[in-house]
Amino acid sequence: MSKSVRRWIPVSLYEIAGIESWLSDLSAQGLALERFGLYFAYFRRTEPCKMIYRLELLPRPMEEPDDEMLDFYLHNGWEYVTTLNRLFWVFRALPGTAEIHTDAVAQGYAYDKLSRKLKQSAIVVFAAFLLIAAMIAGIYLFSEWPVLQLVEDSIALNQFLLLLVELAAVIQAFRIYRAIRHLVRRLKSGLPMEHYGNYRRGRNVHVAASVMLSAAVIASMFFPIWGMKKNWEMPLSEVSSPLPLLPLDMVEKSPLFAYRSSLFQGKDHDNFVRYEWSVLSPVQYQIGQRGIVSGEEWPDHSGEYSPSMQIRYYRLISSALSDPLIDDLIYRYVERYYAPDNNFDRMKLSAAGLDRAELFTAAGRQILLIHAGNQVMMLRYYGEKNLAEYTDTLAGILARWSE
Amino acid sequence: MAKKVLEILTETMFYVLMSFLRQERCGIEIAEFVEQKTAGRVRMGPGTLYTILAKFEEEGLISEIRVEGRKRTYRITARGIEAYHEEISRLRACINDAESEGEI
Repeated sequence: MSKSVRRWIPVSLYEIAGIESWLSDLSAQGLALERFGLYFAYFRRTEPCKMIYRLELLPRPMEEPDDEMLDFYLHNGWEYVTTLNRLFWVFRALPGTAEIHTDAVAQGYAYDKLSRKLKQSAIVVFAAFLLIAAMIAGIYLFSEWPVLQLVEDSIALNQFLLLLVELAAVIQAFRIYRAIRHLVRRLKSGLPMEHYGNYRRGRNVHVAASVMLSAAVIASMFFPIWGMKKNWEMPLSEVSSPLPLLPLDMVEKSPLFAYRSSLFQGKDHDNFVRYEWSVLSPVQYQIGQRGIVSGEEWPDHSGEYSPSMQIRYYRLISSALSDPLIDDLIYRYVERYYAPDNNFDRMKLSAAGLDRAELFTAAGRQILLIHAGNQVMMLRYYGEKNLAEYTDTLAGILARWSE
Repeated sequence: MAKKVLEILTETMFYVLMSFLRQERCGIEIAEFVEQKTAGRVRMGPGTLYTILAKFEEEGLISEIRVEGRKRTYRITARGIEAYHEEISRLRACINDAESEGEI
């Protein structure tokens, strides 16, 4: 009857009385402790026999008690079981065995040292939290386009998850320090340690918190890697799947129009599609288009007429982000670009199926921003046609992409 | 005046220090000394013994001089002797104060 059984540890490892009570109760159910893992304790099945367990602070850095210690503990009725976290030895004995400690004040000196270390750790963890929080806050609070940055930044969520994890670590560090500090005061006043703790109260919260924290840590590592793997870029001509695209040749309406590629290091920098992913916008496209109309010139005769269009498309996780994103895009690509003279025209458009449509024009350049629900699109066009004529077409594109 | 880290020497700690006065000892020998010296009056649990030894070593009152196999032997230091004598003086002062109060 020695099959290993595991149980989720119901309390923090520094809740000494709780751990001791839990182990003792399990021994009465026929589970004898073998060892501790990170989240679980491992037991072997035995005949039910109530044992008392004691967590003993290591007197010095060592993995196990040395032979002399083992003999002396055993001579006093205490069997060494395992070492917990390189911090505690775990002993067990039959009920009624004389306690391992007979001098509370002396025991208090040992916990005093631990208490000082925990205080230092708590301060370091808190300082780390403040540093991370300041760095993250600095990125977004001082950003001129925080929503745009959050939407496009594939590691934004990762940063916030790390911050949450760090905050949980701070809270836990100070809770543990307070508990040990309280224990030290008790011991130094001559009162012995309590060995009964209610591990049932708060067990579900402790387990849930452990699971959530672990999930947050894993997610913070997983999402950036997953995001990078999902991103891709290829020439526009090679994309066969549907795109949120207003084709440039449709806008130019000229049989003499032809797409023109500009290759550099094997990449087409004029006609391309880039797909990106972030938690706040799981679908993002950046599409570049450029062409020439043979035989035509720019109105100012500066050269052959070569219109271009860059499209940015975002499908957001919530439509609540759409307006703030458009505001940031306006600031980033219009107001800041044309500051301080602000010599651009702004026109609000309307079209069935669009929640918002604004067209900005300046010196041959047009920037059209639209959104429908959780989809946002920005078209930056350099050419002679009028993007305002295409709001219905774009509404239809967004309607198809919302399905 | 620098604050003493070990502000209180408990009875158990005092007897542990006493055990080193005549000779160096290992853990079990200390426990046997205290048991004999106090005729069983002072009981020292194993956890208390090793906690006190670790604390005394940290404070420089004893030093480990030998490890044979996994048995550690200690001896008292000059600082430990000083601490022992300070405790003797304190206890004598307590006794004198009590005796000066006379019998009830």
